[in-house]
Amino acid sequence: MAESVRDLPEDLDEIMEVREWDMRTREGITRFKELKAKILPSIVMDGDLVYESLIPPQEELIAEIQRRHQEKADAS
Amino acid sequence: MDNMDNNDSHSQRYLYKTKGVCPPEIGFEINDGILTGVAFRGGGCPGNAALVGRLLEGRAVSEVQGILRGIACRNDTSCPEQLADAVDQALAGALLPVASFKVHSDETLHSKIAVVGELAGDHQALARIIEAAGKAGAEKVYCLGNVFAAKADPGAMLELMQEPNLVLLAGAGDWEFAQKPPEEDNLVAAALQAKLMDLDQVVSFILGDLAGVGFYGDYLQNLEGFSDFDPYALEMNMVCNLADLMRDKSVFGAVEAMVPGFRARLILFAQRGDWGAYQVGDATVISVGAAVDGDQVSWGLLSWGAGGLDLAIQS
Repeated sequence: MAESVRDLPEDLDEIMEVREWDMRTREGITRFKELKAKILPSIVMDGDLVYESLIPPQEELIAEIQRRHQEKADAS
Repeated sequence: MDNMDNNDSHSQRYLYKTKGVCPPEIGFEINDGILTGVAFRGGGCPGNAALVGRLLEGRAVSEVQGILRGIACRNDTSCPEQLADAVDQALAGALLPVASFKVHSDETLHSKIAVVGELAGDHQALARIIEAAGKAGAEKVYCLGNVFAAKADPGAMLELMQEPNLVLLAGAGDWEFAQKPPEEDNLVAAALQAKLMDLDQVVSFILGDLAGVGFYGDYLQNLEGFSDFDPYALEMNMVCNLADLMRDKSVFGAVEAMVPGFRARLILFAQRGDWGAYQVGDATVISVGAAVDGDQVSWGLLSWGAGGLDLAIQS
């Protein structure tokens, strides 16, 4: 799943920041628990657990990122 | 015995938290001005990192600084630059040497072992377990701690510690007791403290087809030099932190995803104090129950046979 995030088009870098947590570390485990995740891998967006275990097709991932970005833009 | 806290009095082990590069941590040792054991851990290209470590092995610190400086990679720094900074700080005393947990490596192939949890200083219970385990055919007795308790008879415990087939590990309480200032008027207790301080904290072993590891619990993660990338640290982090001493079954799927990175496929821990056995992927995790509970004495006989692993709790 990490690869699917890394392979996202570069233009998305302007609207999002990606943070990868290393589950081998206690820091990563603490964050995993804070986010109430249960399964690896997981993708969280804006604090919401959006994808667990299933790797979304890239189009779906891009669409979800853009939808959230648009929602924030509309709200502001 | 594989002692991660190097026994050579001149050798100092360092951990450096990097900034701006892929691996979050660099481990290394300096022994009389010689650099050894350079390991970039937790990220980056493992092949290149291993090569760098190999090329630097045994070189004088004064020599390597010239090699490491002036290499750019990302964020105006690089792994070699970070190592150079780390070595500089170590030499200047800004980065202090640290010790992690001590590992007892039992490299004999076993078919039966006895496992013992919280002893609470009951030397009589330990003597009974050693005798019963011997009769049951156990080749070794692994006591995962705590071994000692304030009410214990230090002299009797010291005597039992000489048993040849007994491997005693320090639990959290043992470690705490060992670090107290010794009582000047109680030489036996002081001798026991010294002995406890000397105990290993992790045992690695082989039972049939399984590589195993045993330890007390999460106090090891609080040791100054504990690294998430030490051997068996992944097993500890998964059991103690992620799965909350195997009490949180909802994350077993996540633990299972991490099992391929384990060194051991049989993991024993004693902190919880009650018995439990869990299969997570192809790893078996066993919570070793307290050895002494009122008048009851219990221990576990782990056997490897045609049917695989078997745990029989004896009381």
